[in-house]
Amino acid sequence: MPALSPADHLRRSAREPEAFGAFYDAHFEGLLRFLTRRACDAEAGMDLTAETFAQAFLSRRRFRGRSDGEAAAWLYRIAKRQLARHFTRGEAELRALARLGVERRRLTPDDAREIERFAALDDLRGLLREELSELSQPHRDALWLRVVEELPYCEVARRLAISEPAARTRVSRALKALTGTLESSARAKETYT
Amino acid sequence: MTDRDDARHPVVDRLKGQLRDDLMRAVAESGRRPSRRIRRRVVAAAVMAVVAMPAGLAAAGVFQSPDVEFECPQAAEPTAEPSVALAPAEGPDGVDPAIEPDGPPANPCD
Repeated sequence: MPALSPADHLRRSAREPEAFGAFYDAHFEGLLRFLTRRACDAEAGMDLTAETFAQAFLSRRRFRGRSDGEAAAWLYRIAKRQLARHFTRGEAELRALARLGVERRRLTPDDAREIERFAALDDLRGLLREELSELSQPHRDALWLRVVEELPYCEVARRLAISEPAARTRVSRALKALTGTLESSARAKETYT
Repeated sequence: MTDRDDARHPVVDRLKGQLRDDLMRAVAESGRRPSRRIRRRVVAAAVMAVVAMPAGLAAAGVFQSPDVEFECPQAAEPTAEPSVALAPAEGPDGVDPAIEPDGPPANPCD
């Protein structure tokens, strides 16, 4: 009898919840690396990984695919939703973990450094610095204030003496300019399965 | 497979194991207790039963049924004499009818 694939385990977990463990084992490292690099932060990467798996477990009956590719795509769709909420709220939303009664574990500084090495965050930061230097000064300033200093758009606008819509436009264009490089880097560095 | 994939990351392995333990413990517990949906349905059914039962009994005429036995049947029968409370506050002979010289009436259930 052939061994079950991660997708098989995910489908099976709908009636045998313990089967979810094998699906988790197959995707943990890839998802942690993906989320840590996208959030550019080890603590957020770990929180988002835990929340994504908790959400996936709670939603496992909704998975309709059959292949491993479909199972991975389903999991990463959940992860991207969590990531979007993280960027909107400024912190990971841990509702699914709370529903399951799983307590959040804080990382020690050593653990965080190790995850950063695992996700090759230094490479990514170096790449970002290079790409930032290619941007025009107004776009670089807007992106820096919004992404690095995490200021709200109204404050970015005030500091740059421009309107809020103009601040949003500058940040958006700067991110768009960086997207191509970051996407190709992501494809090269992230392992999805 | 890259060099990075080959490298061991004991911290990542440990964190993976910890989260796995936490999740699987929660998974095992979620299997033991009824899901939130089932709990909601049970509570809704209980509330509906509590609300609907008296109304259903009244609609079925249970409370007006001659088959219902009262604990004290005599108490349910109308008395032939008018109640003291309905008599004039003061009788023609000037005696207050509320004052009963023979003491309180006997309890028909005794």
